[in-house]
Amino acid sequence: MSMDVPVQASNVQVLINEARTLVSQLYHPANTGNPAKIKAIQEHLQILQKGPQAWLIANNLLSDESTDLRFFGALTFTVKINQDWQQLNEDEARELLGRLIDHYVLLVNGGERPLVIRKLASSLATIFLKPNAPWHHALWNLAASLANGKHISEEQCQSFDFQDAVLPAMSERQVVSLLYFSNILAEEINRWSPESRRSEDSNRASGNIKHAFLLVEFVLRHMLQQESSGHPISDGAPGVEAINSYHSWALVRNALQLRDIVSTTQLAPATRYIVQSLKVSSLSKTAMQVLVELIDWRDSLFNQDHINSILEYIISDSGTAHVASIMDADFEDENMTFLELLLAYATLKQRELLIQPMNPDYEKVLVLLHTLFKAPGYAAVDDSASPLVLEWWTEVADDLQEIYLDTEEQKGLDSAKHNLARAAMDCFEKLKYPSLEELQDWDEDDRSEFGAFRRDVCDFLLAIYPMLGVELVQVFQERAKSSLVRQDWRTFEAAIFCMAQLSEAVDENQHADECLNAIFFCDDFARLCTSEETVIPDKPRQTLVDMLGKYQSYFERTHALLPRVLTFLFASLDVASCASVASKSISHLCKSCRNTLTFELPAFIDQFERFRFKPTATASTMEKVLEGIAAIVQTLPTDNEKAQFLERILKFFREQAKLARDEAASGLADPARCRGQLVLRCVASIGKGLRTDGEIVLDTLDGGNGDPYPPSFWNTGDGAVSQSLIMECMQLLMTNFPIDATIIEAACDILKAGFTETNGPYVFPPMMTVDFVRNVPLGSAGTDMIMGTASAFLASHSAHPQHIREETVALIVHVYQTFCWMHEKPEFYDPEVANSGIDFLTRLLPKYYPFLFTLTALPQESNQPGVNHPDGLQRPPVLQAILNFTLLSLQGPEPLPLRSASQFWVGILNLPSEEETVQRALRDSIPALCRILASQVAGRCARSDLEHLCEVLRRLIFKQQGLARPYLAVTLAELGNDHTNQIQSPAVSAEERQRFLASLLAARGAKAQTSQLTRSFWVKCRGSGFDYIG
Amino acid sequence: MSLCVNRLTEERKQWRRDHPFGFYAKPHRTPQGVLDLKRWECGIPGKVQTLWEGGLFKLDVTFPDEYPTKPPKCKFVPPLFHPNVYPSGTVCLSILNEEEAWKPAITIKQILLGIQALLDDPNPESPAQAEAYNLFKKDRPAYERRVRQVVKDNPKL
Repeated sequence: MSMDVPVQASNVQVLINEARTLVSQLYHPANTGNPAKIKAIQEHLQILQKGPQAWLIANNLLSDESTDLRFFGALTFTVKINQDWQQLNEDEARELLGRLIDHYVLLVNGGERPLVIRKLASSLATIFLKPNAPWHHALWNLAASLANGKHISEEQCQSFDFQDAVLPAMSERQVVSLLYFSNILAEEINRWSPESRRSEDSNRASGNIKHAFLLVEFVLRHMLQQESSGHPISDGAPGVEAINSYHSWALVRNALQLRDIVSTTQLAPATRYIVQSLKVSSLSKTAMQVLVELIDWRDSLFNQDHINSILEYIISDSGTAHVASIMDADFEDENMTFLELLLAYATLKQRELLIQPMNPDYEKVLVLLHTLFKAPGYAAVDDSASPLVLEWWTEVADDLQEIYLDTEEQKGLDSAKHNLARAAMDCFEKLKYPSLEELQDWDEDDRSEFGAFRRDVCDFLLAIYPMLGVELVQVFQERAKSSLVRQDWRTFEAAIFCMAQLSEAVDENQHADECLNAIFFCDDFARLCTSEETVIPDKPRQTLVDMLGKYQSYFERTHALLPRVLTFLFASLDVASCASVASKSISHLCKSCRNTLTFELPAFIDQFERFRFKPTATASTMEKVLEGIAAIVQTLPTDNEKAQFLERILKFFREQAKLARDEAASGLADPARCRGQLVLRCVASIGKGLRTDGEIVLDTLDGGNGDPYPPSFWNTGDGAVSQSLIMECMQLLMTNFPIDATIIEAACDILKAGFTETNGPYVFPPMMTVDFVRNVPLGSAGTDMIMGTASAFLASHSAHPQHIREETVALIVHVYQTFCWMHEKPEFYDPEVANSGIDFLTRLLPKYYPFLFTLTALPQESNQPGVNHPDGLQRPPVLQAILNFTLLSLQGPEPLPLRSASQFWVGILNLPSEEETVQRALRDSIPALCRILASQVAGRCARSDLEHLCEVLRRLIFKQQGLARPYLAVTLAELGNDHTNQIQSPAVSAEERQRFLASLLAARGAKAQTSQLTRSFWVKCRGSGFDYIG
Repeated sequence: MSLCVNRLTEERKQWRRDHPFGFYAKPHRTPQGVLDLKRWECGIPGKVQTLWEGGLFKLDVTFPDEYPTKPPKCKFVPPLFHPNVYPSGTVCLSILNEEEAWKPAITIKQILLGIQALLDDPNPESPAQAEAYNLFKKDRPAYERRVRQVVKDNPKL
C-alpha cells in the first residue's frame, strides 16, 4: 500500500474523476426522487471503494474543496480499512494512521464541518479497533497531534502530560473534535457483543478510558467556571458532547469491567460536573437524561454528595419550574425528562421518602409526586405525566407491601399508608370518564390508552389494598353514595369503577360486606334499580353492570338485594353497551341463587318477553337470560308447573323456527340461518339451565329394567307437549334447511342437554341421536361436533352398553360407510370426517369394543345407499375396512387424521390382548402397522407428526414386542432400497438403523427415551438442515 | 434472587421502558394484592389490516422455575379459536417449545409479537384444535366469519 507511488497515475486519476462525478450525482437534488438511480450510483461507488485504488481515491477526495467529496473520502477510508486491514504490514498501518491523523488535524484547524470530522473520527476508531493496530493511547496521541498541528508518534507524545500539557494547549475547536472521536470510540466499543470480546480488547480500552474521563472533566470544568463567573455559555454543544461522552465511557467501564482502572472516587470530579450541569440551561436536559440512565445502576457511580446535589436541584426553583410547566399542560421533552429524573431519584430513595422520619426536603419531593397527578387533561391522552407517576406509586406499593407483610415492625408505615391513600385519591380524579362530546374527538388509540391507564389504576388499588384494607373500599363507597344522591354521574361512575376493581380483594371474603350494604341497601340505589324516575346515562350504567357482575359472591349471600339488582340488570339488557355483561350476570345470579328466586319467576319471564323483540336480543344475550330463567324453572316443586312455563317459552321458539323455514323457502337464506341459530341456541341453553345444580349424571348404576327410554311425565304425560316442541324445532331446522356449523353445534347441545339426565324434557329416545348423526350430509362443517355428540351419547350409557347395542352398531356402521365412501371416491375425502370418525371409534374402544370387534361381516342393512361399491365390487367387512382406513390415515398427508389414528391404535394396543377377537385383528394388522411406523419415523412424516406416531410405537414395543420386532427390522433394513420408494437419506447406514431398533427395543416403550431416540433418528434421516439451531 | 426471578424482574423493566403499541404485559396480582412474577397477564392486539384488527386477546404466560432455560407456557384465556391454539388455550408455536426453537435469549416482547404474527398467519403443519383448523382448510369464508365474531367478542378497551 502506498498513497504516494505514481504508478499508473493516469489510471488512478480516471478513477478519482469517476468517483467525483458519481458522488456529485449522488447528492444532486435532481436524483433525490429516483431511488433506482441512487441505488445504481451507490453500487458503482461501492465497487470503487473496495477496489485496489481505493486508498488513493480516499486520500484524494479528503483534500477536495467539496464537503460531500471529503465526507465520501472519509467513508471510503472506513470501507477500505474494513476490507483490507489484513493485507497491511505494520509499517503500512502506521503510515495510514499518520496520514489520517494529519488529515484530521488539517480539517479541524481549517474549520471543517462536524459531519466530515465525525466520519473521519469513525475511520480512526475503525483502525483502533482492528486486532494488532499499532495504536494504544489513541486519545492522547490524537490530542497531542492536534495541539502540535500535525501527527506526532505515540513515543513522542509520552513526554507531554495529557491533563497538564496537552489539553490546555488545545483550541476549543480541537477539544470538540477530540470529544467527537472519544464518543465514537466508546460507542464502537460498546457495540461489541460480549461473545465477540477478547481479553486484549479490554486492555486496549483501559489504555484510553482515563483520558476520556479527564477530557470530560476538563471541558465541563471550563464551562461551569465560565457560567459561574457570570458569563453564560453561548454554545452548549461541547458540554453536551462531554456529558454524552461520560455516559458512553461509563458504559464501557461497566461492560469491560474496568472499575479498577478508573475507580468511582477517581470519577467523582467528572460525576460532580455532570450533576452541576443540571443547573446550566443549555446542558440541563442532556445531564438529566444521562443521570436518569445511570442512577439505578447497582454499582453506583454516585456518592452521597452527588445524590444530595441531585435532590437539591430537583427541589430548586429551576427544578420545580418544570413541574409548574407540566401543571400548565406543557408536556414537552425537557419537562418530561425532569419528571423522569424526579422518578429515578424517588425510586432510589423510595423507602427513605416514605418510611423514615420526615425531613423537609423529602417532604418537598413527596409534594411533587402528589402534585403531578393534578396536571390538566385526561391521563395518557392529554396528560403524559400521570401514567408515569402512577407507575412509580405502584412500584412503591409493591415494595412497601413486602415490608408490611414480612415484618412485625409497623412503625413508620403510617405515614407511608397516608401517602398511598392520598395517591389513590389523586388518581381518582384522573379516572373520570370523558363526556360524550369529548369522547367524539378521541380516536381509537386515545380510547385504548385511557383504558390502559384505568387498568393501571386498578392494579395500583389492588396493590395498596392489603395495607389500607376495607377503608379503601369505604372511601369509594361513600363517594359513590353521595354522588348518586346528587346524580353526579361522572363521579359515581369513577367510584363504582374503583369498587369494581377492589371486588377481587373483598368479594369472596366478607370483610367489606357492611360497607357494601351501606350503598346497596340505600333508598337511592333501590330507586335507581326499580323506578323509572332515575335516568342513569349509559356509561355509568355499563360500569355499574360490570361492577354488579364482579360482586356475585356478595349478592349470592345477600339474597334480599337480588330482586332489585336483577330488575336493574334486566332493564340494562336494552342498552347495547350493557347487554352482554348484563345477560352474563343474569345467567350467573339466577343459576347460583335459583332457590331464592322462584317467586320472581313470573316477573322475570315478563321482562324476558318484553326484551325478546329488542335490537339487543341477540342469540348470545337471549341464550344467557334463558339459561338463568330455566334454572329458576328447575326449582319449581312440580313437573306440571315446570311444564307450563316451558311451554310458554318454547312455543315462541317453535313459531320462530317456522318463520325461519318460511324465510328459507322464499330464498332468504341468511336471515333464515340467523333465526335458526337463535332458536336452536336458545332451546339448547334452556336445556342447560334446567339441569339441577351441579348435577352430572354419568355412569349411574343400571336401573335394571333395561329400557334406556322409560315412559315418564315428559314423554307420555303432560310434559310431552314441551318435549315435542323441542323436537319440532329440531325437525324444522335440521332438514331441508340451510344449516351451518353454528346450527349443528346448537342441535348437538340440545341432544347433549339430556345425556346427563335420567328424566326430563330433554331426555329423548336413543334412536333420535343416531338418526341425527346419520342424516347430516357427509362433509358438512361441524362433523367433529356431531361425532363428539355421538361419543357423548355412548358415554352417557356406558354403565349398560348392552341396552344400546343396536344404536352403537348403527353408529359404527355409519362411520364404516363414510370411510368406504371416501376410500372409493378420493375426491370426496374429507379430513374432518376421517378425523372425527376415527376419534369416535377411539372413544368407544374402552367400553364398547366388543361390538366393534364382532363386526367381522358386511353390515346387515345393505339397503343403505352406497353400501356396495359403485362398480358392483363387494366392500370389505366392517372391522377390516375400519382398521385399514385407520392404517392408511397413519401414513396420509393430513395431520389430524394421522393423530386420531395414532390414538386409535394406542387404544387398540391397550385392549386386553387375550381376547380372541382382538388377538386376531392385531395379528392381521401388525405387519402393516410396523411397516408404516418404521418408514414414517425414518424421515417420511412431518416433524409435528412424530410425537403422535411415537406413542403408537412405544405402545407397540411395550405390548407386542415379539410380534412387531421382525417386521420393524425388515422395514428398517429395506429403507433406501429403491423398491421401497421411501428413500429419505442414504446417509443413515444399515448399522445405524439396526442400532436404532436395538435401542428402541431396549427402551421397552419408555416415553422420554423412545421420543428422544425417534427424534434424533428422524433428524438423521432428514439431514441436519432440519435440526433446530439453538 | 433466583435466575428465573432475576430475569423476570429485568424483563419487566425492559417492557416498561419499551413495549409495542396496544400490548400489555404484567405480573399477576393475587387477590391478596401480592405480585406473582411467574405468572403474567398479557394482552395481544390483532394486527392492523388483518382479520384480527380491533381485537385484544388475553393471554396467561406462566414461567417455570427453570426459566429461561425452559420456555414459558402461553395460554389464551378464554381459549382462542385458532388453528394453532389447543382447546385448552395453550399456544402451539415453535419458539415456545423447548425441543424446537426456544432459546433463553427470547424476550417476552418477542414472544408476544410472535404470537401476534401467528394470529393472521396460522401454521397448517401443526394444527392444535380441529375446529379452527378444519374450517380454515375447508371453508375459508366461514373461518373468516368466525374470526370476525371472535374479534367482536374480544374488543379493544
